[in-house]
Amino acid sequence: MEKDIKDAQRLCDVFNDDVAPAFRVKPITPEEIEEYLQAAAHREADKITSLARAKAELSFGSRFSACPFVVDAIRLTETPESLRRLLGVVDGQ
Amino acid sequence: MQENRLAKAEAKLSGRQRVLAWMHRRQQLGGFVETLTRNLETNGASGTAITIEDWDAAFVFECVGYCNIRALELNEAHLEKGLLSLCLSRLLNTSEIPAEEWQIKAFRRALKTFNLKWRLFDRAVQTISDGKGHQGRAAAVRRVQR
Repeated sequence: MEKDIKDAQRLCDVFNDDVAPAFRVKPITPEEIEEYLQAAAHREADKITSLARAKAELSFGSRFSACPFVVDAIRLTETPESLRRLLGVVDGQ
Repeated sequence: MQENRLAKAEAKLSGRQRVLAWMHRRQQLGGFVETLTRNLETNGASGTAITIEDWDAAFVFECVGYCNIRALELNEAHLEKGLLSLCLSRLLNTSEIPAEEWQIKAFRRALKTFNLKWRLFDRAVQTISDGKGHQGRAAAVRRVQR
């Protein structure tokens, strides 16, 4: 996983150093990345744990107890407006 | 002989410890994909099955399974990486500004999202491992103790 994170960062570095100044767009800053991670990481962790809880309940045959966790997980798969803004949604998309 | 010793040691472990020991063993055998492939090839004969007796163990087991699947999904993004590299290289070798402003903005967003996907998963796994998630392992343990 470390290698893939490094690869992704290398692509961003090339964009920031050579492409962004030439095309007059904002570089992708570490602060921007961190801001998104701060807002989204707990949400992602909650999604994983909700799914795991639901499956754990199901594996013991408690279908009714699993439902709230399934609902939670589904709710957490939708990207809220605040996170969409941090992603930098382009007009018209 | 060694199998017997392992089985005896395993019997003394609690639910979550047992899952963690099983994960460690699977890691020594080559990891998730390797052991799963071997298990399929031998029709289940080489697989080391895990006995899940309590909710806490099942929760940890499912968390591990989900994280492994997500890591595999992300690993399959070679095409995305290749396309982004190609676009980047194209932009590096041209002085021509795209006709529409949204084109370069969309590329910026795609690059940022690609970077974030990996980092987000890494951070989420870290959060779960530290037990800092709002509904993390600590909550699971409390539930079992009730």
